[in-house]
Amino acid sequence: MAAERNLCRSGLEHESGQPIVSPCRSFFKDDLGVTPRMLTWIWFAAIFLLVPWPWIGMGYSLVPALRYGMLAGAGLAVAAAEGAQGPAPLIIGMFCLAFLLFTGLSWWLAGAVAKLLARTTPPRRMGLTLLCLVVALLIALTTQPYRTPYGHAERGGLIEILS
Amino acid sequence: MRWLTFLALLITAAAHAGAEYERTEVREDCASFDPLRRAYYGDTHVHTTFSFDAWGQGTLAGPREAYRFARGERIGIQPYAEDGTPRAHVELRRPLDFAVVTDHSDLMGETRICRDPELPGHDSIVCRVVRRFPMLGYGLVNGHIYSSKEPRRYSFCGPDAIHCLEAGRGPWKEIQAAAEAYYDRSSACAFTTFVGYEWTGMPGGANAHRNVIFRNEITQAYPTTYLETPTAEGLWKSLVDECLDGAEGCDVLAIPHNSNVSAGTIWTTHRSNGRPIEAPDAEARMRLERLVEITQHKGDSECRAGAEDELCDFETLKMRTMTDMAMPWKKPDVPPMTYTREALTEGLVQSERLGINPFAFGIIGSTDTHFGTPGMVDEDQHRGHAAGLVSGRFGPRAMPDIPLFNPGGLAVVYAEENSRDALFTAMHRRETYGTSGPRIGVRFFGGWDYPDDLCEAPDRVARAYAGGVPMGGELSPEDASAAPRFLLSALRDPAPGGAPRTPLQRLQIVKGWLEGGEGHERVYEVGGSPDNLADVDLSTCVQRGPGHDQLCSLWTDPDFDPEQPAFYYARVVENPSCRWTQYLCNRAGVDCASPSSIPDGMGACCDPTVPATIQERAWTSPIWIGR
Repeated sequence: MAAERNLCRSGLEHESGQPIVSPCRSFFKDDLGVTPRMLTWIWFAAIFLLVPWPWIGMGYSLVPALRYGMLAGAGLAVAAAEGAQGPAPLIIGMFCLAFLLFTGLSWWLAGAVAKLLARTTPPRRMGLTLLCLVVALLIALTTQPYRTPYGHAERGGLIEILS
Repeated sequence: MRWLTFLALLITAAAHAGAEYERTEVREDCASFDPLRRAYYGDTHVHTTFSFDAWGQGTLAGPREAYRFARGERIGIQPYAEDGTPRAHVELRRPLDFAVVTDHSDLMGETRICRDPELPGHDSIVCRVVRRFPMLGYGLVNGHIYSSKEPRRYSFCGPDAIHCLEAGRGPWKEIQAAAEAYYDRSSACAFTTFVGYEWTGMPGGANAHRNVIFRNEITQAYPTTYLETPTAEGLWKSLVDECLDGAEGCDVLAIPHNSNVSAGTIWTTHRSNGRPIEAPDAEARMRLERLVEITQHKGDSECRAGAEDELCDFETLKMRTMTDMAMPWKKPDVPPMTYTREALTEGLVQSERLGINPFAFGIIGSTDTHFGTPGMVDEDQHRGHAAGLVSGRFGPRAMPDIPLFNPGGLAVVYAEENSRDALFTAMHRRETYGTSGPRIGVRFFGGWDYPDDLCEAPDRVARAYAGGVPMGGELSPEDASAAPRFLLSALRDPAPGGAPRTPLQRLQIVKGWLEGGEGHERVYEVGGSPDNLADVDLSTCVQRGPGHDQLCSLWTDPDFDPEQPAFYYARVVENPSCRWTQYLCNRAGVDCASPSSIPDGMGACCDPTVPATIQERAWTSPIWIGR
């Protein structure tokens, strides 16, 4: 199936009436030049950056994997500079775990979405992808879909969690 | 100048020749001096913006705001607008008589450095993380410093912590200045403050905290910190060296709290080197630790839930340490010597061994507010306490606190007048009691020859003093002519200003005694109606059923044995009333039969492990016999 998906129509036909196909240089060779892997990466970046994941640490948070990465990074930076005693390693460990878990889930979800989209035509794939990205980005920028107990406001949008 | 001060002290001392306390400061005599003493209500556990954890949760109220609040003024609290204007305001329904700001001595300098860009260390990674991710910083720094067995300062504090110690001097001076500014030295004696701080040892997460309270304006030059002095023995030594023996006129108390999450470390019978305590250790403790805070925001420490005493299951956290809260999957394993009553009983055991009781302490309650709002204890007005795991920085949430926490309690002190010397002396002699919030009026005396009609006597207090000892005192078994008699009287909280008025339900006396070298305890019902079937309408919080405006009982111990050392303390219990969670659930219109009516974050309303009602109460200091 994978091999079939990587065949592109030339627009010509054999004498038998079968379409003439040949291996694609890229999945979307004939439209935007986006390979399946690239599509997966696009979706991963979007999910990693925008999709909130729930986590119970010191309070209930609902933020993208990137934010957990920022928190884990901040904790690790403090630990690297000053060491970590008492429950501090546990706190940092929980954020590292959340980051790894949700990064992995983001990648898995991106792959699944790309696989689903592969059933559609290339223009539709990109259209749907762009539409979803724009809508998600608009929601993230204009509303406060995230719960951010570790920041300066209880709820926030994309700007708040990145700034 | 000095001789003028001396002369003034002489004059004021002469004026109070009849008082059982020494005047150690210059002030006017109180117009309301009462030789039979009256109850003064206060809060000895208050955090303000100088505490790292309070500031980390958005508290900007300082000691001056805290004292203004305690005196009955309206103050602003978080959340704050960008320009610093508070978006919420709070006010007590009735002012307190006294209060003590007890900011954490640890991290006082670090907190200031992280806030002040002019100070060295402001741009350190720790401060940047604290400012950028306040809640994360709170967890990391608290964990690193308070909960470590070997705490050490951050590198930005510089060699020998010079930057942090220097930075901490500012807040320490301000704490003292605020206490001075709001202490009423006039004859009105309307409000009393004390200089204090909290030593915040929490090795391995086990709470060993002590609030340190100075008698007057003569204090340590710098508060003792867990970072430099990581054991309770070290704290006591520093208080002796730097105050009791080291500064003329200096006097001080250390008050442990939250033994309920201490893993048994507060009432340890071993020294930090692992050896059993000896008489000098017990003496050192008793010289300073005259009181214990039995209840506060983070739970009740009276007795073990699940024991024979059904009323022990009251605001109990059932955790070994506070860090267990981050690990809810752990099975609670609360070790012995966690609760006050266990320590009081063990004190009798140790007294037999050492010749001195190391755990002969009196009882108070307080709030541990981190909003800078002393005495904010009303269940129907609870808005969290701005520390711990539910952040207060964003303003009150639907459920503003961990449901198992509570608004905290009050300290009540019987003194002749509302002055520092009178109140401090009363605390030292343990003539105190604690409440879980309401201002229940309690008198508790013990004597050998009290007459049968003492409750009915109009001068019963004078006769009780004359013929016995008040709460916190000791009866000598050598004087025993028969079994001891105890006078216990209580008045319900008049609750002006719209606070719920709850009738009294019953009076109890809790006895602990030593028999065959082992401690025992028993609870006696001595007044009121334990089975009065009073309850509360949960949908409206209206109380139903009979109750008492006042109760009085003269009780004789039917099981007294003069050979058995014993302690007796009283517990006065109100009828059931709504707990703070129930008030919030009602306001939110929660109907547990209809899941759609449960707003986000209000799941606790329908959690059967969260009590809907409580029975507020007061606990007196014990009276000992042959301890």
